[in-house]
Amino acid sequence: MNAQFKRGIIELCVLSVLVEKDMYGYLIINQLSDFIDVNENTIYPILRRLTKEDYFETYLEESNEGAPRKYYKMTEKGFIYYLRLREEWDAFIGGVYQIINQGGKKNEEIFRRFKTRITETKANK
Amino acid sequence: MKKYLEDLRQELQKQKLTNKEIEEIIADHEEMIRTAMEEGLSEEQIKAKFGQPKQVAEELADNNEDVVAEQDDNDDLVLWKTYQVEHDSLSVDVNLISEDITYQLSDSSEIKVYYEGKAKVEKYEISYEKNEFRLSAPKRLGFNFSFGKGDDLRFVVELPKHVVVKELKHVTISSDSTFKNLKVNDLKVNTTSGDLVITHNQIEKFKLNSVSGDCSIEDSKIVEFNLSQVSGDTELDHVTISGNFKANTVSGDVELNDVTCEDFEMHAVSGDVDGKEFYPKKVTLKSVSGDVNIKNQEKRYIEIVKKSTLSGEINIG
Repeated sequence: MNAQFKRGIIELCVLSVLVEKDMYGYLIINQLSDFIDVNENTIYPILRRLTKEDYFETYLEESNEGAPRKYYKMTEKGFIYYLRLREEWDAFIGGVYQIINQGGKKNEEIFRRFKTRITETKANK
Repeated sequence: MKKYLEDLRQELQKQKLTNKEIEEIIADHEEMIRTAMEEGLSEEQIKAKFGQPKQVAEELADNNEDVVAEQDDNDDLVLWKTYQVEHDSLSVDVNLISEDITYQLSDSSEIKVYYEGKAKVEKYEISYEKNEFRLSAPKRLGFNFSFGKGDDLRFVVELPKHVVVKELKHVTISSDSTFKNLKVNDLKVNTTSGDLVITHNQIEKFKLNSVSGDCSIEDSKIVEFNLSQVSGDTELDHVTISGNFKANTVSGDVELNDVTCEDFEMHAVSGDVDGKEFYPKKVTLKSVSGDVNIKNQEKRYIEIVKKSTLSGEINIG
């Protein structure tokens, strides 16, 4: 997948999990990689950039295992940004589905239509 | 884990991130990997989850491309003057005594001047004429105690983002001055005891005179840098000087961290230069007892052009 495009989507995913609750870095990575094929080296830079832009704040909290963990907390600025991104995404992905699903979703059906069209074009030449 | 963190540190240094950033990133990764281990992940699983240090370092460097220094908040300040700028370049001439000042960018095409503090702002001369912005503290004859440090002013001057600053002259006695995110062709700063912070600037010619003010320059690009100080110290962190760097110092030290330049010329009485990841092409040292110490990880050739010193040394290692 195009790297820039993927980055935008992961950004929305990171924002989405942090809307729900404060989390530490490793947990965020786990939450995302459970569902999509993505690893730390994509998620962490995004987390860091969004923090720099004041969409998240961080604080330290002791864990049961001992050493403190850095938690990320969404700010109001982050929430507003999330809402905007979410809206853009819904509009975009909605449009994309309209386009790719015109005339049905079934692969066989799509193949059949495409085949007839190709043969028609060839015959016309 | 150790190996991963070591590799990561090396990759981050290659990407020329600042030391502060590198330490933060390493600490974050240490924590994340430790958590993964606590959850019982095997080394192989951790490797898969974290990927290549090189990749994360590159992404982080990309992040930095358009990052700018966080601007001063002007919510609590009084907006004093605005001037519409019609041309695509301007010059700035500021003369202050003890007022602190921050220069930064505004998104509009106006110069905006904010202030806070109790001193009488109307006594200041301020104007924008013929493409020149001027701000001067009231002239004081002899001693005047009405300006105690307690009710001093602080200014924030915002310059339009898309206008080139041809020349910026900044003269002060004891003001602390901060320059953020500016692009200046010709920057001239004179300070007696005021400190100076320059962050995320692009400067073509930079001439800095300081008596006892300390100066810190970070994340900036400079073409020619001429530094002259008496007892103030100067620190450069993550600065690219594409031309020559001349430093004149009596007893002030110069600390360089992640800096490159062409010719480095140092004139000192007793001030030292300490460079970490400092890569000049050539070094000239003229001193009584001042040393030049350079510690670099990468062994690049540095030519020693001339060394005339009584007891000073050039150590490159």
